[in-house]
Amino acid sequence: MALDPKRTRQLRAMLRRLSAANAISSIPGGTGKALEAWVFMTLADAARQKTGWQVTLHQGDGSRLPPNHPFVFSGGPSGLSQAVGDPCFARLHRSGGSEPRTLELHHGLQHKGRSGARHEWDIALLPTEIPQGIRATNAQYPRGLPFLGIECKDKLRSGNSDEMRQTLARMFDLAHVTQLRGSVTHRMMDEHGTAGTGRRWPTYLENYSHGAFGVVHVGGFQLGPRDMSDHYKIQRFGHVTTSNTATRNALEVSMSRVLDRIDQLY
Amino acid sequence: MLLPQELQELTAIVAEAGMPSLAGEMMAYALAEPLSHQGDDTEWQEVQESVDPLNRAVEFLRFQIVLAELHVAETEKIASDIQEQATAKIVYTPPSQLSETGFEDGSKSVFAEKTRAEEWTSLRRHRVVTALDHILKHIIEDEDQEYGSGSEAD
Repeated sequence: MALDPKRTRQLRAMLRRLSAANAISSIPGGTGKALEAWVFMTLADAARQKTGWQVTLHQGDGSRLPPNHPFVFSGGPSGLSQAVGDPCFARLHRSGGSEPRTLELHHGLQHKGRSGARHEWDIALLPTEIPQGIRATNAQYPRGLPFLGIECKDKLRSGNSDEMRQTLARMFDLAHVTQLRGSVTHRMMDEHGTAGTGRRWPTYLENYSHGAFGVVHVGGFQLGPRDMSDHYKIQRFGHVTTSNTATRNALEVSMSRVLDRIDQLY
Repeated sequence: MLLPQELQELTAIVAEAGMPSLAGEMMAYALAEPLSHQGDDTEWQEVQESVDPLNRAVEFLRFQIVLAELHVAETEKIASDIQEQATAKIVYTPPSQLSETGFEDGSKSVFAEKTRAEEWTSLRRHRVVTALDHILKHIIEDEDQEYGSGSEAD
């Protein structure tokens, strides 16, 4: 059976408009980039809604993003931005509370694990001392577990156990538990392990639970990964739809909880 | 394997519109045998789902195009709210136009103010994407009606 010729004409016209406009959907991998961008800005917006917190957008060199200037979004795994033109980021600042806190929300940032391997977080929240130290030494990668780490999967099929294992393996290699000897003395450190920030706990699970980690999977999740993610406190953000409301609310709650408990993480 | 005619047509339309990569991915998704897993790693079974390839192709297009464009639109709105300035744009810049600093694959996309503002405003995007979603839904309805009337005739 052939498609209705009228529908065919309409469809062809609409797709050509999208393609001519170089819309995100006409770019290979564009769906994943759009999802990551949306999750990033949703989390930044959640922080902006929190009483006492301010959010600003910044260029790769750390300077404030000027008005009418492009916000560069990472298209792949990378080290920390160093210059104008590199990926931008959001800065979260709390001036009140027991003491001021400043955090940075990055996208596509690779972290170096204890093994020396690099692991990308699609979205990561770090204490500003870490990226500032890295920029000052012209290094590239933070070490340790971020305060918040989100993986984004733009797949229609359901998330399986292997994907959850990948996230867990990444968290395992990045975690600095207090029993560890050597130079890892903080939750997060600069690339060379000379300066650090953040409190550590004696077990992996405690380090995971004193933060927020999750996987956003457009198609939802199979039953298999549920027990594992529940046990290791890896949140599942599934069934992303065109309304986005449920996923947005869940992401906002996650960010809000981290900010509420931020002093415990230092 | 004999490809359904509608799927061949749809694939050709997408490819001819300048999206050959999307057409290929759509075809692969439409022709895959969908299996749902029930249970966990110790006790589970695969259940074959019966879904028409054209339905799967349309589902894929709606996900790839409509959802992605909605995400971009909402992202730009939030970015503008945070910056308290005019509407931001998200565009993709080819790797050749970019600095290589900090990248492994040399690619990145950009929220750019006023970039292609004349030809691709947020309003225009909204209209095109809404119309496209409408057409895709109708393609499935047409298919369902054909199938329904055929069943009755049988």
